[in-house]
Amino acid sequence: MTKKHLKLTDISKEGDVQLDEVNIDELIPLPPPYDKNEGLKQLTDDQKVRLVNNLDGFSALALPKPKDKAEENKYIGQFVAGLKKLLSKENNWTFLQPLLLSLDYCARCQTCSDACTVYTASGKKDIYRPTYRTEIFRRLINKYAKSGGKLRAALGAGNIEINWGTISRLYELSYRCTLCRRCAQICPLGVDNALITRELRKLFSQELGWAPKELHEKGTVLQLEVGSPTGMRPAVAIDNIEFLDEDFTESTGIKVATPWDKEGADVLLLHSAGDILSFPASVIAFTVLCNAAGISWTLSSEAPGYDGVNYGLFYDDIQLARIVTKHAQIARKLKVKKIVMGECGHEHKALITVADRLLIGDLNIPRQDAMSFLEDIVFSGKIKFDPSKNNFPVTLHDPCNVVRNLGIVEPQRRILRYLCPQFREMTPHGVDNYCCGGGGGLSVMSDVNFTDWKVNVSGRMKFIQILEAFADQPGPEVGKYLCAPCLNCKLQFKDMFKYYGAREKSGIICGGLAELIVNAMVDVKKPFITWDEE
Amino acid sequence: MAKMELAGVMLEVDEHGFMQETNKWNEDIARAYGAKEGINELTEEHWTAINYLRNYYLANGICPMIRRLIKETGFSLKKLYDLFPEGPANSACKWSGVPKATGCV
Amino acid sequence: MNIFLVALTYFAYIFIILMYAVKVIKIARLPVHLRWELYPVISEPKGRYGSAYIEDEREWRKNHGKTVRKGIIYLLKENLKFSEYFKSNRWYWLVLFPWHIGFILIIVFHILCFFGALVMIAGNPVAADSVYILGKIFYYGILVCGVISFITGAFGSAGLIIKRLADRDLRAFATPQNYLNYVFTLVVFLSGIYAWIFADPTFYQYREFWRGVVTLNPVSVEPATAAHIILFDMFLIYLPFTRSMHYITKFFAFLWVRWDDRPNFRGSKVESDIKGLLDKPVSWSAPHIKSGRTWAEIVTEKKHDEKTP
Ligand code: SF4
Ligand code: SF4
Repeated sequence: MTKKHLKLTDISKEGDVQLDEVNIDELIPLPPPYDKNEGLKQLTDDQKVRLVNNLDGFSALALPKPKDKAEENKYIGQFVAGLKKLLSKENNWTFLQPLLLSLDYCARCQTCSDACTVYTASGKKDIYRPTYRTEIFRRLINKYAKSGGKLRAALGAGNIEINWGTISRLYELSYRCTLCRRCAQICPLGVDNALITRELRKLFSQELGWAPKELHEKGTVLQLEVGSPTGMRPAVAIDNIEFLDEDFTESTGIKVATPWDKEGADVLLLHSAGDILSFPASVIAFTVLCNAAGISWTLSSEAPGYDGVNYGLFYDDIQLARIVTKHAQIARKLKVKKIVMGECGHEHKALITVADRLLIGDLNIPRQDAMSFLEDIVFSGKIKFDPSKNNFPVTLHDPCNVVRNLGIVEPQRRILRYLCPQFREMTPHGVDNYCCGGGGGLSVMSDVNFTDWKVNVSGRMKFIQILEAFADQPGPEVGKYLCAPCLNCKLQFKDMFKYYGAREKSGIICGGLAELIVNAMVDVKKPFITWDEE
Repeated sequence: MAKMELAGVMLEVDEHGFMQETNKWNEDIARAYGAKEGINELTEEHWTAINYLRNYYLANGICPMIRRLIKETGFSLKKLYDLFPEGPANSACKWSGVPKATGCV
Repeated sequence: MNIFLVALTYFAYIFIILMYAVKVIKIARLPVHLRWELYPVISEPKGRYGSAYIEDEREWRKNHGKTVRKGIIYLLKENLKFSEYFKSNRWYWLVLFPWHIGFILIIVFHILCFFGALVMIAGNPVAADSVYILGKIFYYGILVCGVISFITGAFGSAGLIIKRLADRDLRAFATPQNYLNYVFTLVVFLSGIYAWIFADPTFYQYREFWRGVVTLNPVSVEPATAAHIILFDMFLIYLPFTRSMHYITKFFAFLWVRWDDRPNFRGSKVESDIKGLLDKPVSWSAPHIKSGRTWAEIVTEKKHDEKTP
């Protein structure tokens, strides 16, 4: 099969033409036993009639086809208006300076392409190049949002047309990037393609009202309304955690209880509600550890104080700001000394650094990451550990939002080196890690056939990397643990491991860091981590 | 919005076939969902799980944790997969007529 | 003609300095942005393995002591060596590096000419057999810089044209303006080589010309040298309309964005800036934003106080 070369102007082809397609045998190969080809899920005939499908044969957004030309033109008009707002100090002070620095000074050298796991995994498809969407966006801004732009475009500065095809394809394409920022890290000029991609998503959300429903309608909107994108209300959150506490007490004989809304506690622990539902062991583990270490802590039952996620980070500044403000207000009301994050990478980035310039006065409450918090507990001397209880192969997945985006690299490693005799690093790791493939909100998105894209394309490099880390004991008879201290990453691994049958074929399961710590506690007799199906 | 006909009713569904208007649900719809996934007869055990799920959803606006489902119905996870081919989240919830779970689950 | 050359030279220099200054000021005056740093942050004490001060924030913001010096030195070195390119994009580096070396040296060449002129005015002849050591240094400095600059620059320009045309991936992203730029620089460097070989092998004319520029006492030069001077001046005037600024803006991209981990201390300038920005009006149109209010009002969901009609 010959590689398809795309021109930048192809983006504005007639609305219904599909630009490229993903064939499984063009992707970089997986090692056995994962090398058999199972076709990728296609849109059904009915979906093809209803939904826009003009990019790569996948639909993450289930965008309905426009009714008529008038509707198309309305969106086109809004898109152009949005381009201008992105350049305005009032509407976009939040990212204007970084945006301009990234827009105006890219040398088009393509050094960044090979750093991108999506591009590499796809067998180097032009459509997934970090620069493909951003260069198009750059030319559109230059042409439509700057004075004299049309003339300059005609004179040879790059001329791309805005039509329905352009905007609908760009919309899908802006969700083919995990915002992992490997491309930004390698760029010699400091250009950040992930940032540009996020600005593009922002334009769609803040001006056209277009956003993936998992991130917006059933994401931030639901969180601001009822407290959590899972739909979990305060009473249900309390009830669920009580259930988990009792369950643990029953099965281990160790009595645990979770403090709620304790005013003046040292620590407000901000879990993600998704952990309660999908990875409850993580929540229990924190409870066990905080209690055992004698920490003065509390959870909050005020919406959304029991769900630390903030999908606004992925697509919308306003929603981002609304949620961090809510979180900070709740902490202020409880008069806690600091907020500590649960194991959720994007929550860390949103609340620790990004929010730092949104919170002013007494809302800017101290915030600590989960890794150094757990490290303090482990090395406090208050809990007795027996590392031999963790004597199975363990490797660490670095969540992009914790390492590359936040610079928290070592505390989690100090814990693992102490408590996991068979700990081994992946290559590359730390700030050079590969993204799990679910970054930038992708891991919670699963509309139409998008899951197939996530597990086959964006997660592919990571999956290979995990298998390589465990290559010394590949068989399913040895239970292996992938430690991924981030809810979004764990969800991506859950989808991926299920799709490939990684537990059955290789004995690999995925969980967080706190679970490993509890598993090594002398007082917890029964194994906390098991390889049974969860 | 996609549409799908089940048990003689035209239903609004999402792209994965989950019902969007949960109040239109009836037992025949559950049977029709089951038949589509190759389960032609819904047993007492199916109904135990479906009824528990549905009632929990109606009371709480969200599906129960898997652990709770297991405890309340007394079915192991394996048993649940035997009853519902795509598992509790993708089959059991769908057959019970509640929307697909979202938000980091 | 002589007057024209001097006037053009003044104009070109003033023009480019002004244009660059305006652009830098524009970027510098943009509002403070949300933190979006990327690790490793070179100036962090533990930056070597990527760790941030955040790792040690048990004592909330007590131990934040970084220096920008380290970052600036790193970037300066990088601007001379292009080692990032060398590591990750070797073939491209092979042409890109000489091209930029051509630029750097042609700038050094002019700086030397300028100071050489001052040295001459001060009474020290700049020549190979000058009795003054300073005169000798300037003579050889100018000669070496000029020659190497012209040759590497011409090689780099031609190489970039070829590389960008031959490499599909690069070609797909090139605009006509890219090629125009390369051709322009090629012509500038080639004209330099031509003038050097056929008109002015020791750059005597160039030195005299610059003395004329400084003393406002124009001297006449041969057509080949004049042609090069005109081309170079035009090139300077053209530069601000290209992406050339990235050589400078790169510093901002790194220091103000990628490595900008300045915390928002209570009562700091950052905080008061943000306070001001939160009072800016929002006009995004999507329904969930409910525009027409300020950032602060939208974020805290306070009602906009209704204006009486
Ligand atoms: S973003 Fe950076 S690395 Fe990528 S093409 Fe532009 S200048 Fe080159
Ligand atoms: S942020 Fe990551 S996924 Fe997105 S373009 Fe860059 S390297 Fe690729």
